[in-house]
Amino acid sequence: MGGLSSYTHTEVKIMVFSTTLFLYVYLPVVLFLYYITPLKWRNAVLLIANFVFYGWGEPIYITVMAASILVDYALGLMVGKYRNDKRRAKMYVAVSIVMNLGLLVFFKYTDFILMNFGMKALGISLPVGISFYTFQKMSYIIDVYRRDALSQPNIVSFATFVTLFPQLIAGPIIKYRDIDSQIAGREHTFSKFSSGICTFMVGLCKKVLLANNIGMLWDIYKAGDYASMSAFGAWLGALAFTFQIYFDFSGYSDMAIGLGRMFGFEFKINFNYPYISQNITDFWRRWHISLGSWFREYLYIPLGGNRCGRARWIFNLLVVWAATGIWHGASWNFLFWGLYYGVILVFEKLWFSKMLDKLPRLVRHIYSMIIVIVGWVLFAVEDAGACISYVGAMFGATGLLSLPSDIYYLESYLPILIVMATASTPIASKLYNKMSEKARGIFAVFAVLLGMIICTSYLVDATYNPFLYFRF
Amino acid sequence: MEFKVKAKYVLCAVFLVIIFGVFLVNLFTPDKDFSQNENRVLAAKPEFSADALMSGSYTSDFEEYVNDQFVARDSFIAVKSMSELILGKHENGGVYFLNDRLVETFSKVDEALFSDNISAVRRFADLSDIPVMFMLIPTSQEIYKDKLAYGAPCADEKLLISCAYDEFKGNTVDILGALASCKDEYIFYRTDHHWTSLGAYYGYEALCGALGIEPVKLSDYEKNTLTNDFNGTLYSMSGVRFITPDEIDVYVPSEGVTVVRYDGIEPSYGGLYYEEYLSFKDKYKVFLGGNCGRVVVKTGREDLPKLLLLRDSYADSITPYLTNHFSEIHLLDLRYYKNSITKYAAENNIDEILIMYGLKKFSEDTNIRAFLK
Repeated sequence: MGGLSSYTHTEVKIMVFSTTLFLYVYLPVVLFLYYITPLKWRNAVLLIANFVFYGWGEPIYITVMAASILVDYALGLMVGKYRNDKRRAKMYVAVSIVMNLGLLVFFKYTDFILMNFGMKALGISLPVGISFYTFQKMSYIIDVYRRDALSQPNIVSFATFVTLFPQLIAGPIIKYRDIDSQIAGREHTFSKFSSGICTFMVGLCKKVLLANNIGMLWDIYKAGDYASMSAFGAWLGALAFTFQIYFDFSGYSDMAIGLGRMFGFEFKINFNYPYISQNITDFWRRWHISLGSWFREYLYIPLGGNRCGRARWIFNLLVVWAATGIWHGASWNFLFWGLYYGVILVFEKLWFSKMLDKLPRLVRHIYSMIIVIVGWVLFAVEDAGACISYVGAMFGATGLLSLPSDIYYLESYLPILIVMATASTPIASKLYNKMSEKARGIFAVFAVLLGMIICTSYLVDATYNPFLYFRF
Repeated sequence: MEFKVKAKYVLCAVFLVIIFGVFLVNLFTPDKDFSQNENRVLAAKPEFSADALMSGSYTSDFEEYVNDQFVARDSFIAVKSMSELILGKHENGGVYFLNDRLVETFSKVDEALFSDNISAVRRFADLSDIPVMFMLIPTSQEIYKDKLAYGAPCADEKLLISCAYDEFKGNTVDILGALASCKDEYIFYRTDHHWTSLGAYYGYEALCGALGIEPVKLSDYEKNTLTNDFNGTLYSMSGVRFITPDEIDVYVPSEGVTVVRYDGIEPSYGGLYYEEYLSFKDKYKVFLGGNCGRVVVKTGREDLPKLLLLRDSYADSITPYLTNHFSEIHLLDLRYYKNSITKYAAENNIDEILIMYGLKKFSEDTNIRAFLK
């Protein structure tokens, strides 16, 4: 499972960090080649590695990406050259945006649009990472236009930025201006590398030991009959998905950040303990930070942000949230999920927040989590009827409070649920920082060792396939 | 300051040694072609071609190859199952852990398929001139149900069997009752989904009762333990390594019995027990040599009737007891034998037909409704 696009399309087979192939073939080979290369050629080596990573599974889509990189490279130079001719520069920006959004809409949304008009889907498969790299390229052209960055004359450097394998598949979405100086020159130190290892390991454990595990529980409830599901069971299932998506996505982001550091890059964090949020506004400052930041920078603010009348402000918010929703996938439930949050945020900002601030912390937290958990059900269950059924079950529609099998699953998964609840808070991080430097060093070494062994065992087991009866 | 410096170097070293080390070990250790534990051929290094690369098949085959040939694969499987146990799970790989044994999970039943299979069996019996008896063997999950964790999903096998028998409306054998009354005895293997020879004996006793024949008393036989190091299918599936291995006992001597296996171009001849399999992992194959489309057991007692068994692997361990009562026992496995059964029965002068399946297999098998004719 890669990034979020795996929740929406049947994915083209891609290279995934949490596999033995990546950990024990790709990564050692790439690290080796990268570090034996003299500094000035390292971006080129990285670029080749990026293409290998990206092309793994369906090499044909490299052509789409390469072509769009060349176009944006040229457009970027044009915008840089004509930066004093606002109208002309704007035209180049528009071309880039149209191309990038066009690619995205074509590959991601064509079938959705066709099906909604009663036509047959074309069966277009989604090139991996397209939701991320088109956004990164648009960030480049807009940053150059706004003079937040200079255009990149070196095609290798530009291509490296677009295709950086750590964040190509599932983010974090990097704004060009946050990374351009690092492309040009970055430090490769042991401190950075070891810090990268720690972050990477945390991410790997989150994905393999926590997300994949609790995902099995969600699979059970998702496949169940919602009309006969108990309320407790429905909440347990929803909670399972709530944890799964957080640890899967934040785990992947951690791995991306950790890998980035191993290659000298410093990416910004993408998640900041979203499940300790005190209200929904807070939640969206902690969840998928790079996406929210991208939309704020390149959509919300250009639309006028909150610097206009109330009606226009609400409109802007809803447009951004509709976009956020539909970005996650080509299906009505994602749009609905985005608007669900858009509406709640409007209410919060206009009326609730003052009232909320007066309530005790625990109440605010419960309020936030209920909204978030229900939100995840909207996200996870694509079919509208099924979704309504499931949410109904959560709020007692089936009349069943709990079933013996629910108790069984709760008991089976309780230790892991406790670990995840704890890991959703900064407690572990705080405790770690309280340790002496010596203790931290020793702890980190043993944790990495143990983590690698256990994660590898889960990864190897994932392809374990015993046949009861030998197949000729 | 000094320790901080040391820690970061050690950390980098540890991580790099692990990923490079494993990479190199995997690269230089020879590939294995068969896994005893998984009972399947392991992926070999894929052939490179531009076509394969472009279609994505090379890369996905390569990934499978890396995984299948991973160093210490079996040990890692065991580590994972240990980790699941420590995390408090009650099952792994489709197997429930009870304190001293493993039990195959059986909770979801494809009701349409189950119903189709029963109809197929009934239709066959209705059309058959030869008397047909139907026998379903419960899994150990049903026998040890009271030891499962509260609420653990499990099919109601008692209900399934009684519904199947009611639908069949013919001669049936109550194996569940016979086994349930002996549950404290060693009637199911701890690490395998099959019944033991003792469990098969109780099944045989019940079968004799239904057939109206006198079973040979178990005390008339001498128990012979062929091995006490049997780690069966559940050992493989679950990854659990700490359950005491099983004993395989045999009671009925093989004297005078010839077993003919038709699984190649030429038939092969042997006795009731194929002891060469005791040196492999799947020791249950010692009974009649394991899976085969057609096996004929000849006892030399020409005065006795001929039996046709339409079966799965449970039949292999009950057959030794049946050699006392039949001149020939023909065992057909519908997974491999696709010709007309009625024709076979007529050609071989069969006197009695017994349809015998483990309940789980019966509820999942798609060959019954297709080939039972």
